[in-house]
Amino acid sequence: MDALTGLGPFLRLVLRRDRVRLTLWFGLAALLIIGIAASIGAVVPTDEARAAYAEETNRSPAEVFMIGRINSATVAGIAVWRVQGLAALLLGLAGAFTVIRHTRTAVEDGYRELLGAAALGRLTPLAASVATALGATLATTAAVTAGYAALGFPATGSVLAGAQFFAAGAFMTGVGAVAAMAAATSRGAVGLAVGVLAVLYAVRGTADAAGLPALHRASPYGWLRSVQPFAADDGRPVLLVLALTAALLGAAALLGTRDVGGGLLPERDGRPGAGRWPRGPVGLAFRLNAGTLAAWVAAMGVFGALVAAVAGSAARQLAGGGALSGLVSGPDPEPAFIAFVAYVFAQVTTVYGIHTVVGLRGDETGGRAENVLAAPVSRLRWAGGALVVALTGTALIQLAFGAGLGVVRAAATGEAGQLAAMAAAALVRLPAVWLLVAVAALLYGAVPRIAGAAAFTVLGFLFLLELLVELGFVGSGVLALSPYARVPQLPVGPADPVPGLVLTGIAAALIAAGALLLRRRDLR
Amino acid sequence: MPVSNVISISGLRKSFGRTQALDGLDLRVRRGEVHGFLGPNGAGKSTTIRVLLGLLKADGGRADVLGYDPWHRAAELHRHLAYVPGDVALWPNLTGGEIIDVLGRFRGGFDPRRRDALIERFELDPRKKARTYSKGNRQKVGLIAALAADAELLILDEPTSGLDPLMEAVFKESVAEARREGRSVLLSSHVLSEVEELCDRVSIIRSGRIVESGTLAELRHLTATSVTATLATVPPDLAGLPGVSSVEVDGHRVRLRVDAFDAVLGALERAGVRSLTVAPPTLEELFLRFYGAHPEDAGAPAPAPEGPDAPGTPAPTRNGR
Repeated sequence: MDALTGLGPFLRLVLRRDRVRLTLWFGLAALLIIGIAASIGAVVPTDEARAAYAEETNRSPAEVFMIGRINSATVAGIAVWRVQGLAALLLGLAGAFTVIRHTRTAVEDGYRELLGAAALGRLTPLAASVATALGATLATTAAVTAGYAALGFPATGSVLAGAQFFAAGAFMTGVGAVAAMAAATSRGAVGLAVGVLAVLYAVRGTADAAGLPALHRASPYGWLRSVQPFAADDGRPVLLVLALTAALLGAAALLGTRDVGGGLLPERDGRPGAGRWPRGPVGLAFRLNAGTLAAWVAAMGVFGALVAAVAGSAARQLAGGGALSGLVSGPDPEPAFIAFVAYVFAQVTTVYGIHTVVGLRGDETGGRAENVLAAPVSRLRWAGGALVVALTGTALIQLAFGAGLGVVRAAATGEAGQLAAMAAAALVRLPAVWLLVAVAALLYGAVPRIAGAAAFTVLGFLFLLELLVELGFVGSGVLALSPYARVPQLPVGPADPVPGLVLTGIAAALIAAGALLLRRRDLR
Repeated sequence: MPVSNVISISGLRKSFGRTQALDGLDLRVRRGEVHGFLGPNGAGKSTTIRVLLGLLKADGGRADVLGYDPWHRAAELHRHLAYVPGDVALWPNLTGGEIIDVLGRFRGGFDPRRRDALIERFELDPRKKARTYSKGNRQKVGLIAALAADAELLILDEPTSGLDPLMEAVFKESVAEARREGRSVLLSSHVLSEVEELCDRVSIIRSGRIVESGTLAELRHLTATSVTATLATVPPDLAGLPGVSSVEVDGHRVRLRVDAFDAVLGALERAGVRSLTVAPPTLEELFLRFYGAHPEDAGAPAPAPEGPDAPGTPAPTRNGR
């Protein structure tokens, strides 16, 4: 049978299943990118203001690490700079998740077999999902180009800005395709794709902040940095990234001709019985989460070390410090940079906590919860297992991040006290992380069906808050809404224990309310 | 509630939005019996079981399992029962053996020899990761974990789906053994041979209520017997006789469906019987009748008599229960 038999019908199925998801994710990405561009003119209205803004930004290690340098101090140049990180993240994740969802996840859900029995080629799901992801990315980035042109931005730059965003999205679609074919589970595929994105993006940030042009060659995000729409206007890196994407898709197609359901590595046998643990629901939750948690701890430890390394060289290289979004300001750029990155990474750690709590819903609807709940285990003890893992897991991840920071800082400065100071900078943000975990727990008790989406929406809103404040959409006072801004911004400023205690108290109350609601509702 | 009932449900109601899943359900399972719980797909079997496990809260009515209210005292109740769903879902990254042990520990541990014997009997490889198990192997994990538990009551919701005939036989053996040990079983099943072999009594649910309950013999009693006869002369008025529901005539051969024999046997005798076959309703016929859209039309009497098998049931069943 032809490897692509049934492409048309399968494509229609993908579009039918994902019409809301695709419209929301890609539509919001386009709106966000164009909306921010439209607002830049008001934020920095004059040439002088723009020049000062670009100057200040390019001297701020945090901004350079997170987003990159401003290459053109025009409205268009600042607009494309401001969203390039966000666009790479949004479009990249959307592309990778779309492919994984219709290939690896479909195998797990078993409906791939249902379709395989119908006339369906071996590579049809891969081709259809890649076509969907690339098509949606192309539509989004074409809309961005049209939007930029409508805003009066130069035509060449508008096209290249769209092309740059498209290349970033297409690259992660390719990574998602390889991950989906190589990993044995959809969770593993998602982890692999997100990990690749995080590492390559961090490589770009490190190269930018530490001023290491050679390092840019190691990451496609580094290649795309030299497109410089509205400045250098160089389209060649886009072609290079698209060539890499084509190679990735080819590799995925080769891997995809294997057996349906088989991973790259054969499944090894495990132990014939349980060891000394797990003994109870908490132990089971840890046992089930051990691999994921270990990966998070390792990754965040490495990120911490990386940030500390960059902070050191960036401070030597860049004189003076820019205001960090009205959040952190201090005379010394290095601690301010670390404080800002710690602020961002506390929200990244929260993803693990929320994911662990709302995973209960998957266990509930997937039928795995029944195994535990039909045993003499109350539903609160069952759900408590995941909650304990989420709370202690986020603490471990933050601790690893702080330790990574501290070890490198201590080595660089020769002050052993840096280790404790950096651990404190990470752990002081834990109550904010726990508050969001508690929100997820409350949502799971109250509205289980949408708990995951709602909890991540709250986190996403808080994440964007800093951007909105910076762009002047909302006053900096609104930042006080975010628990992440409420906690002391160590290592800058004093360590006040009160906000942390208050946030922990609120978190405990939310968890108690969630438990009450969980006890009262039906379980699927 | 009399102590002899391990499950006692009366007037149970549960709706999901506008769908009435359970509509005044009554069910009694006696201590020490294997009780078949039958009904078409979507009739409310799994909903009933989920109420019995305390996963769903009933909108109305009463449920009592082993003397516990399953909604308010689920964890205590579960010390005494074990459950196997129709589609056992497992944690993909644990092995079958690990899962069996972990679930056993939640119950306070079990006899490892019993566990090992069951693993051997069901021919499960406990070292394989759960994600590599087929449907049948996942069911085995659920069955072994439940049967190894020292539970008074087993609640089995279509537990053998996906098992091969060999393992199906092992399952029947294991349930028969549980019954000999004095355990009670609520068995939801579509496998008629399983029901016939194992169940002391059955309850049939349709549209959220029990339409019939009793021993299989009693249920057979409620369904027409099929009579085939070759007669010297075919009388013209057979269809008009009381107790006859359908008549087919083919030359001298007649096929009748008969609820009451008094008038029919006389009429046949007068017509001169050359040969006569009387067949009890098959299980399939029995269930199709109760599963069908209008069981009332067939004249099903209200609640079936409770008690031991009525003597003098009309015809021997295949297994002579």
